[in-house]
Amino acid sequence: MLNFTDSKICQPLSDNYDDLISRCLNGEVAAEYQLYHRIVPKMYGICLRYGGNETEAKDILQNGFMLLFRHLNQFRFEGSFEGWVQRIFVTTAVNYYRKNLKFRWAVEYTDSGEDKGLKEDALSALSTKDLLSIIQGLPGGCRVIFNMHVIENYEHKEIAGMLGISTGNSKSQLHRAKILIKQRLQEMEKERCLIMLHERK
Amino acid sequence: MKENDPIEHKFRQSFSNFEEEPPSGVWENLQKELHPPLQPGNIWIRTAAFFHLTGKSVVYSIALGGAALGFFVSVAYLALRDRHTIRGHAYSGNVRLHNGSAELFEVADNTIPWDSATHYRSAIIDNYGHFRFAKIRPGKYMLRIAPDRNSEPAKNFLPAWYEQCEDADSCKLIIISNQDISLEVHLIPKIK
Repeated sequence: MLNFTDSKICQPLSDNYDDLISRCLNGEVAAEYQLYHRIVPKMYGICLRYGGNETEAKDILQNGFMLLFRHLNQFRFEGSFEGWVQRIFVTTAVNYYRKNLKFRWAVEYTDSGEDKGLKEDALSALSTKDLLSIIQGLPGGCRVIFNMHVIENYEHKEIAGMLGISTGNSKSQLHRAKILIKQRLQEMEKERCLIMLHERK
Repeated sequence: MKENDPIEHKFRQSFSNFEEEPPSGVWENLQKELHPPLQPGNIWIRTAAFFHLTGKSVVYSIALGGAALGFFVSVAYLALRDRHTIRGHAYSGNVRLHNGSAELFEVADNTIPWDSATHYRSAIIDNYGHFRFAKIRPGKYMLRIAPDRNSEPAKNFLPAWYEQCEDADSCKLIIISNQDISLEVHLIPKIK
């Protein structure tokens, strides 16, 4: 796709987002390519958290970049560009699930002593990859709300507004997500203990 | 910040700067969408080649085009024929709701309706509390109404599911089979 013999594309690399954005708005494919490569690892990280698997994450990533490049002229060159892009990707992920997701409306989940047996070191031993697999294993609605509230720091009221659900529903979905995560952590801890026992033998 | 929960803390800390290289092909797909190749001459060349190679006349192509158009019109007619309207009024207490929103959710599952509800369409509730969803296909639906966030009714009433339920679990399903439907929905008074 990219022809590196094109004079436009052979322009020097730029570290400045403002300059890159201006060049993108002028239709320079090279600038779009640079911008894409600078932000794509972080945005794909977001997409992986919101997507249930790599295919969904790839779909969200693609939709997010389409939205970004088509609405780049709406960036006002005020505040953080990365923050603005991040909001676009979160909105894209939310819309992706809003279209496809089947929410369990206003179901209350009871807390049944979920802290039992969960050790502090069980958490600290986990890598980001483990945590990602735990998030991806959550049901869609729980996953979106857990990401929005815990990692993106959205309030329940904002989440409810964006997803078209009640605040209570958002809270109960988050509660459910935490219970499922704790259950998964306990399972992983058991697996770890079994492996250690096996290794000692 | 919600730092009390060790799980939240761990996840937040681990994903604050999380980055991952994307799979190949994303940039190429993106470029195809953003800058589709422009080949305006191709369609004429191909059309000319078609007539030249098949020996068909222009009249033949017009007849073919007419048949295709007729086919598409028939399909569109059949698709839209079996559609109905859901209309009604929303109330806050005994008075009609002034401005709000109505959202329609389609239910696919027969056993647990609220588990399979997907957002189908939104409508505005006007000054007279009236809302309308046109060209709705037959099926089961759930309806939710809400007052405008900063309006007077929002201070005293909660959003409601048809007929007057706070939770979707206990709401009444709207079944569209072969008729238009008119209904009334009441917001739920806040308990003070």
